[in-house]
Amino acid sequence: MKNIWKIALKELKSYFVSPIGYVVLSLFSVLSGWFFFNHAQRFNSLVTFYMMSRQPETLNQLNLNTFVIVPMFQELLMLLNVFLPAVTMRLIAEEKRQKTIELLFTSPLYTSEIILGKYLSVLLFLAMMLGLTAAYPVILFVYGRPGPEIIPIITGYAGLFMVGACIASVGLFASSITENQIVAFAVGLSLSLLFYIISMPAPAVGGIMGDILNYLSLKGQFNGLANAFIDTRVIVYYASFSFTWLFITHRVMEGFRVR
Amino acid sequence: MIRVNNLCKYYGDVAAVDHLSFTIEKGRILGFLGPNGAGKTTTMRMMSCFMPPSSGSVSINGMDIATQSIMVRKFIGYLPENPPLYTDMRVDEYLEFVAGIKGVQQDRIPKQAASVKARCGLDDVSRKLIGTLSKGYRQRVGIAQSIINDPEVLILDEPTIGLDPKQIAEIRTLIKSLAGERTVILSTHILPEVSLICDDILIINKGKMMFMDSMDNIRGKHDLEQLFLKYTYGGNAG
Ligand SMILES: Nc1ncnc2c1ncn2[C@@H]1O[C@H](COP(=O)(O)OP(=O)(O)OP(=O)(O)O)[C@@H](O)[C@H]1O
Ligand SMILES: [Mg+2]
Repeated sequence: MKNIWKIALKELKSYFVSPIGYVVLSLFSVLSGWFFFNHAQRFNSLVTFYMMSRQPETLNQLNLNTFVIVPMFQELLMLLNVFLPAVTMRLIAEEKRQKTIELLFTSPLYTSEIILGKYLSVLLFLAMMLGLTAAYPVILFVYGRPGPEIIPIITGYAGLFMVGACIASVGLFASSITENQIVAFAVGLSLSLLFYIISMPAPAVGGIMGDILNYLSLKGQFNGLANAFIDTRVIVYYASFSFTWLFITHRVMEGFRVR
Repeated sequence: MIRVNNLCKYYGDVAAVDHLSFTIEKGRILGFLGPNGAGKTTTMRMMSCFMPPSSGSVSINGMDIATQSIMVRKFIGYLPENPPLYTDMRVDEYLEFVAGIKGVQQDRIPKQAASVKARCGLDDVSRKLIGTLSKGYRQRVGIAQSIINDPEVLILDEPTIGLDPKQIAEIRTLIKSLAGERTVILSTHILPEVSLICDDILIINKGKMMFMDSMDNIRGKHDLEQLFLKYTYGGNAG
């Protein structure tokens, strides 16, 4: 456990020595802010419109969760898809390129500790990314009349974190198969996008196949959580998704050692 | 003590290391010689637990590198052919990190780091980013990280490459002072250096062992360069 932490700490520091940490954090919050204010603004116009046209039933159906928070979460998910592979791309590829992998592999560390340490550092960074966006729901609580419901916000953030953890595991795998950070980024991005959109043909395919595609989709699994619908199968899915990719990464690293 | 037994490494069909067997007694310094591509780096990578052998075994102080790998790594110091440096770290930060993952106790790290910095002439650059150091200084940082855990066995792959003459002399003294309690194996192409510091000589060629003897037996009887050429190029090159 101590070793995992030592590796994680080293990676966390290096996010902020190189500009990648600051660049990702600031771009991520600027873009998510853009989405948030657009949704909030649209919500405002809707409320004004229905008030003017005196339609109290419709007005009652307007709420901040459905019209601002859920769409924002969907877009945050998309942003994570792009930004997380940029965070993970150097984690293993750079160790290989700089030959520092030789230091790690000859130190009394298990390969699993190296991988988990790196993974932990991404999770902490992901928590920072999501933490920065917490400002937007807070704004809604302060200024919203009535404010949003808190439960779907909490489950939504938990969902974002879990999907982020999945993307991170794919990104780490992508970083393990190459010495080149750009290749790692491209592979990580493509794989995570693939798992994001894999459910697209589901309605057309239908049947069991459609269910499977839906089940495999990171996006499809997330929708329930964003609406405060907690399903243990979803959590099992996320956990096994990350575990599988970390396991493959372990295999790749051990294979690299033998060569 | 290091015991190497029928060690082999194949890259595809090519044997980079071919049934090497030798022993190094505790406290001795072994000079590991051979022409480019002879398999020195490959052998040292296996001894340091970086890669598993294709076949054969290595035992270090009675422990097997394959089955007791994590244990073995705790008391090995290893300087790879390319010093494994994080260019975005400062020297101090790097040594502290290496000490941590090598299992040096937290409260002993500052003392250990200070001592290796002094020994490797790094006091003036301890706050510098490794990426900004000259080649020789990087090599020194590489040597410093290899001894930070007070290893009982030290594996050095061309340790003095890129160093200035004064530093070479200092590293030579350092290596000599480390031996005694420790066992050292170092590869090099600088033959005068070998005769100055090594107790034993091992020459390999194309992955095979060609010659091994103690320096005491060689001194006065043979010229090291002649020996090297004889066992690697059949004596008629150069
Ligand atoms: N990853 C690899 N894949 C394939 N062949 C390799 C690999 N690494 C080394 N070799 C081959 O193994 C042989 C031994 O290489 P090694 O690096 O051990 O030589 P060396 O004695 O250290 O040489 P030098 O004095 O140049 O450092 C060489 O023929 C080399 O081409
Ligand atoms: Mg070599």
